[in-house]
Amino acid sequence: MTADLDEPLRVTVRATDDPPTIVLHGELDPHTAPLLERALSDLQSGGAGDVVLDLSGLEFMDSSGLRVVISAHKDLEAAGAKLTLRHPTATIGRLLDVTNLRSHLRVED
Amino acid sequence: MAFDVDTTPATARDPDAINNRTGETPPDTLRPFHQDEVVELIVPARTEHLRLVRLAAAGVASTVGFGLDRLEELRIAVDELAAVAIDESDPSQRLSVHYAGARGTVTVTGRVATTATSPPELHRVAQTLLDLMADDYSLNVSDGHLEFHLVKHGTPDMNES
Repeated sequence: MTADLDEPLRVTVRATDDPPTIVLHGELDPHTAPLLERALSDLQSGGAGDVVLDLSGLEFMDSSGLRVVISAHKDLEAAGAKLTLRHPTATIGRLLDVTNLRSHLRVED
Repeated sequence: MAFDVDTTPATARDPDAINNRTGETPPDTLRPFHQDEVVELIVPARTEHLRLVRLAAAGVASTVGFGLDRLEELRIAVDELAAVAIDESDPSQRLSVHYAGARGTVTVTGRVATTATSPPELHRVAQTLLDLMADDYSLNVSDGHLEFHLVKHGTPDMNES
């Protein structure tokens, strides 16, 4: 609950990482989810294969965020690539557990 | 920017404060956890204000003794319902949210003008989260307004007594 008031979600794309990594810092909700959606879309249209989402700075995620993540997972899987959720915070990790998404997504603690 | 720092011991400023040296806890120190807490929030019906909706919920929940996990579940549940309300309304409208905390339970009701004639069908993921995070919830449309109602209990121990 300490996200910047002026910038509720900061999305940093490290396109030169291998694999390309999107770092999220803040809160993912219906207001900010389009930012992640755009970053994922840009990477995929740029021909990226596997993608990593660094969640170590993500403090909140609701169904709008989960839908973006699930959709990206499906799109990448269909393209023969994979999405990895890296270092989820305790809050996000618990969300992945209770929704049973951890068993469907690739998560690196 | 300069800040004034009050170095007066807490016990000198507030006679209700815990005396850390003796470990004695004045009876009134725990009073906030037993008080009824009511908060009213009115915000424009826009998604950028969901953070305030969540923040107020967390504030009330912490005041009535919620643990971190239950507090986070409440934040998610109220966010989901408020997001639906905002989605069914117009950005020029105002979403009013009423929070009441008492005896380890937080009850949230929200209301916003809408042109819808019936509650929307929830997205499957939102439905799943609400089923997991809320102890009870409902969405109704009447008299040109969408209303939601949410009940969230704190730790099970608090509600068994």
